[in-house]
Amino acid sequence: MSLKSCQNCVFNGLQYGTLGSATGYCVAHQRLLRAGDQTTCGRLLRKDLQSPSAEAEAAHHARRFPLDTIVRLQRAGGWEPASDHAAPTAADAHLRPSRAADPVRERVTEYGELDTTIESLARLKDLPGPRAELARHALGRSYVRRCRLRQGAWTSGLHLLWWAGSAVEADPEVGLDDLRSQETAIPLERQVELASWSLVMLRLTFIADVAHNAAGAEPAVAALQALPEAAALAAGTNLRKLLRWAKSEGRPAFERALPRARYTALAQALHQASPPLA
Amino acid sequence: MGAKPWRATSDPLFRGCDDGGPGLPVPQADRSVVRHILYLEGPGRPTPYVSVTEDRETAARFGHGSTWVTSAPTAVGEGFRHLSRKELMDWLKGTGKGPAAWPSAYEVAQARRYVEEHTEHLLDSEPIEAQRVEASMTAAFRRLR
Repeated sequence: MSLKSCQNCVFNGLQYGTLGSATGYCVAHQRLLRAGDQTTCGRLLRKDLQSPSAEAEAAHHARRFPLDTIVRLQRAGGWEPASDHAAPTAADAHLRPSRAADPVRERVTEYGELDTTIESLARLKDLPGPRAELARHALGRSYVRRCRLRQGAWTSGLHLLWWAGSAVEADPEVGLDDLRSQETAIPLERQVELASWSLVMLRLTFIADVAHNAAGAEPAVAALQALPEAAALAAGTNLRKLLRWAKSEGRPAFERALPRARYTALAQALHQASPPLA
Repeated sequence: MGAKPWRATSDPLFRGCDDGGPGLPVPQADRSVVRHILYLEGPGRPTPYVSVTEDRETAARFGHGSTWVTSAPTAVGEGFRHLSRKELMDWLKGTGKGPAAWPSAYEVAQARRYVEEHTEHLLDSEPIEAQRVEASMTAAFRRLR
């Protein structure tokens, strides 16, 4: 399971480590990923790193791999064509039924096909479960990054930030059916815990990404960039400690940074403004 | 997964590779354990470490064609320093200790997660003279399939 592969990229909202579904989907290439552990491209942006490190690694990666096509990784760092590993969804007619039966996949695919709009991303919020949350934070990271690169307002991620921060201490309650594979080298119970830990950390890195965009515009929100580091220092890889920290430290920090009244005011201004707040 | 604890004296360590076999470590490259485990600085970057795992299936998932095997005593006999999973887990706390010291506690924790999930050990080539590295790798590893 290479850390440089599509399973670990924010453009794939259906897989992360052992969490997610057997096949992934790349919203950047609009391709089904049949072997997300074995493929990559020059646009990889790692889920497991905070934004500054992820960007630095993306620059290294872009020099080594093609931007416009998905390729198969080789262990030594090279690549080879991967036409059998990633396919246009339109060409996979047999996948349509499973897509319709899987609302998370449906909405992730829709997000890719409908020009990655905030509206289709927001629809993921209505879906329960860790797979929907994975998709929301992974694609949310790609969305707020795109806003940053286009010099957009930090408030483009305001609602996503509010939803993530308002549930920052929630146990994702990962179940066995949420895992891509149960063939693990460690006890399954611990594997489930680590998958939950990864998802809570992804939640925090998403918050930090929006906070990064808010630097210079909303200093209180910008301070939330420190959450992933503070969480890791307090909890290491212990899920129970992480959730306790999120409840006792993370949630209060979020409420200080973005009180409901401030959120409401920003949301109203966002609604009235076109384009969004500068 | 195996129910019995892994034993350094008798149990194997596996590595998944391309068909060409294990790549060569660079003894004098950057010694950061976190940099190595998180695969930072791009594919193919020089590293003094060779990642191995207690679990054959995990090695197969990382590999792209072949799985190779060694053991801690064999690798040490060929000049490698064996950094066990337990040592790595002990070092990867807070902002890390020893060769795992790192500015970001977040990245230390992510590295710890990977070590645990992949039952990862490292073979450190630093004690080996550069011109002997290839011979040591060849002698230490045997191809399974």
